[in-house]
Amino acid sequence: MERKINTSRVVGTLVILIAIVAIIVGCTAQSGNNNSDSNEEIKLGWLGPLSGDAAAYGEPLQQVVNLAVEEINNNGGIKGKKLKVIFEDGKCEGKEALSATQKLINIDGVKIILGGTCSGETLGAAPAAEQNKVILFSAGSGSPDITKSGDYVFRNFPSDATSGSKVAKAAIDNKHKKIAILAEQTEYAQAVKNVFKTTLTNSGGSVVIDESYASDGNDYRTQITKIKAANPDAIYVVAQTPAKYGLALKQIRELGVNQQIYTNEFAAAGDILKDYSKEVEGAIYAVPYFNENEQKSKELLDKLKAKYGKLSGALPPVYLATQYDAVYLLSESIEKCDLNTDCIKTELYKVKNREGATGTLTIDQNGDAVFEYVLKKIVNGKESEA
Amino acid sequence: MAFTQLIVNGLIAGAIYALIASSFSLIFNIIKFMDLSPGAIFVTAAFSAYAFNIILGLPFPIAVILALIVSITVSLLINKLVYQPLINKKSNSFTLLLASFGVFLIVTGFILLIFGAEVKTFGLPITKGYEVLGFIITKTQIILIITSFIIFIALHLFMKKTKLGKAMRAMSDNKQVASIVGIDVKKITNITFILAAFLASIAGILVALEQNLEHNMGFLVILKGLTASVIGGIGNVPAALIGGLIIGLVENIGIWYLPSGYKDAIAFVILIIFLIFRPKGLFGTKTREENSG
Amino acid sequence: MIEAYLIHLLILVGIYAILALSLNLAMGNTGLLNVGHVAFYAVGAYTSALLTLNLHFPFWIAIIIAGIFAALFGLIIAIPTIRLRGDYLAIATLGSAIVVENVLRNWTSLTRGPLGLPGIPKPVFFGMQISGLGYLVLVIVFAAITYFIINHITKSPYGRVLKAIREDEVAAASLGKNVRKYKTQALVISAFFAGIAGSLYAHYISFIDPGTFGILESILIISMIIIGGLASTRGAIIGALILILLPEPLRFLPIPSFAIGAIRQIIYAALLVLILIKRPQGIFGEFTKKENGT
Repeated sequence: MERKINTSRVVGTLVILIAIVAIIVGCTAQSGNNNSDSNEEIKLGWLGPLSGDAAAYGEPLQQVVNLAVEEINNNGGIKGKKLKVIFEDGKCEGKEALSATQKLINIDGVKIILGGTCSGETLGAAPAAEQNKVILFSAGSGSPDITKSGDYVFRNFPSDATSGSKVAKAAIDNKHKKIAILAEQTEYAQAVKNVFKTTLTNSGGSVVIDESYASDGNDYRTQITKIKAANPDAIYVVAQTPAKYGLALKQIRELGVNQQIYTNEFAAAGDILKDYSKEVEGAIYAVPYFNENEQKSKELLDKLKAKYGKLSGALPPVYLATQYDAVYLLSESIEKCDLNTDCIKTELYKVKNREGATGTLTIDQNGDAVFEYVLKKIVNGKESEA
Repeated sequence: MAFTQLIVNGLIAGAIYALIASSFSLIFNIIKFMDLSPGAIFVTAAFSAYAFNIILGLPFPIAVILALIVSITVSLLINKLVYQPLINKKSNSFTLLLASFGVFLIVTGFILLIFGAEVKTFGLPITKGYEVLGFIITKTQIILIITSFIIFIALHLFMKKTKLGKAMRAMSDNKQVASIVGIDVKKITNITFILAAFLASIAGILVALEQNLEHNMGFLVILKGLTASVIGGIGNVPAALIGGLIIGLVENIGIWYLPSGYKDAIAFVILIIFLIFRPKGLFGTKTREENSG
Repeated sequence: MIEAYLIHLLILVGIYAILALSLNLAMGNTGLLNVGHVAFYAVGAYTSALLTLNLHFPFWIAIIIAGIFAALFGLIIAIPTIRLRGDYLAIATLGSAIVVENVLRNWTSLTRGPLGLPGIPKPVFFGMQISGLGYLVLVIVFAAITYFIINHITKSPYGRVLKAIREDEVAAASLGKNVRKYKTQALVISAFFAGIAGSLYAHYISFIDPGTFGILESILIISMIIIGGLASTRGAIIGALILILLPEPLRFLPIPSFAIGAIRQIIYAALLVLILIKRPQGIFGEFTKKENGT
């Protein structure tokens, strides 16, 4: 027994030592790379969900970034140097995002991070970025809490707040005053819903019933039964992912609930238009102004289709566009400022009416994106003006 | 009117919980351990059926049969590689429960690795359900309930009437005596795992058809199935049906009155209440756990 | 630069070490199969966050109150469940943890639900904010205090009673020990330190939400003490070190990332299962909890 314990202790200690050594070796190798390549490459960090529940977002966004980087590098790079992106997994959660950010800042030595995608990632990463004067630029996080999360924190994706209020006003305009809500219990969905609710009640409407469901459930039928019994003029549905949105649509129509649906931009996600075209027909929602047919936007989608075969149906196209624009915007700032983050910061705050795949972008004094939101409606299976 | 809809909603959910609970109870009877593998089998069957039917394009009945074969194999492997070694070492029940959790995570991890993170569906056509007696129910849901019902009847008959069924019950009562009487313990154990895997697999495939497929779909289902089994009386297979239906009904009727975000908590509050006041469940027989030292 | 990254990892190791140590007291030493330990962690984190955010308490007071609240919550859990045996306690605590997560997600007026609590302030010491290396020192101090207290408890006569209860409750009761009282105390003390860990976590990451405190966290902590060795205080720390540090090198490998997440989960779980089968006493553990006549 004595000997057995000793062997296992040796084994245990060895395991730990191996782990520590592996990390240190990995780190030094990485730093070594940094030093040797800094004359050839400009490094950009990227933070997003590459595993876990939101992984279906991360992959298409990674593709967009790779496309943009390839284009930039083929056009001479940034002042002759190649742009290189280091992708890290934030797992859509604060602790992991912080670990990833720490690694990007301290091991890879990046000065700019494009990310997070989930708001939890951005909120987790922001303090570290702020402290290290590293630019954190999110192309996908909508939490209103991000507005105040740092001087070096920017986004070209609008705060969730805007979508909800625009749709609420649309409902009132359409004389739909009594609304029933079905929202997923996530940060994004609840934030949007809260704004919707406030705007609606301030404009003379009322929420007859406010139902929610947890993300790990797939059966919303009793919530929908309650909604049906409340006899609303219309329903407001906010899900966290197009997959859940589709499920909600399916169950709503199966239960014979036929009222007008107000929702978010998932109505236009590829998978929804394909699999639920009948159910989503007529849905009204608001998006940051993104005209698929406009030059730059259309170009982007065509390029993506050409390179990757098909567009992932998991994300509405607007997320792809903001991601694409972000890469370009950041590389333009690097052109002007090299990697001096204070200079880049000032440049970013100056962004006004910049034309991009997403439309016209202005960044306000909080680092937030000012977007015009427009109402859309699904007509004949396609996104159209509302 | 809405009330009948709630009952139907409860039956649909309850049928699934009941299948999982029966699977859980069957295994508990034979190895006398709580284990979470029905959750892993649930996911495996769902994704296997999807892989065979949608990805490989095989006709649905063939896909189901192949999925069953895969799941049953996995179930037998889990028993052979993980549970039997632990049982042979006379491990305590918590060790096995924890190991089964580990197994669940491994299986789920592989599903994630193989199929990726995107949610999948069978893409069945969506139609408004049949409206009858004040509630609405779709074709798929009717099939779900009927299939479960048939399986439960078949299971009951099997346990009561067939030689194998009787052998299983004998073993659950007293393993030593059973083996003395000539029952092949190993064979019956394997058959139990096959049967339990069958139940969990059907549940998985039904849910995949009616809702969708995610790699984590087995987690809450096995925990609620476990709850249903405890409520019915752990180890009492027919009672697992009742337990499952109770959970399904209370969940759905409960959130008629409570904020619906609390839906999952309902099942576990019921679990805690039963564990405190009536651990042997509604129809339970002697349970080893609370009595022995 | 590398140091900042390592400091970050070590801070996490320290926090999880406190969690592992505290769970070890309840599970390893006393045999209480608390699968819902994460609930105490959550209560501590939310208490500390809310006190500092809404009531502007200083961190130093908030962290202590966080521990106390977690301990009180442990008492509440203990009262109905402590007399349950074995697996029944396990699933009762599992159920409680799920209920806690549910409540955190739904009680939006208090916790902001899924929106979480962002902007949790860092501790201030004589006018200076503590972060980075300073925070590591803070965590190490708390971890050391936890280690010494728990080590002292386990090696004392009191600790021996706990072990006796773990091994054979009936015998311990027959010797006149009020088993229920001891078990409750062990759970409450365990909860206190988990609450402390929660506070340390909240003020470090500065953002918490209900999703942070799911059942998988509990399983992670349990894995730490199983791998490190049940009932070994040293083992708890080793377990925390291993499970936090071991997956990090995976970041440096050129594997597609969604695969990394899946592989990480598979490796964790396989490691756990293997240890349970091959060496259930873990690396430093001294025993396996056996049951009479299985």
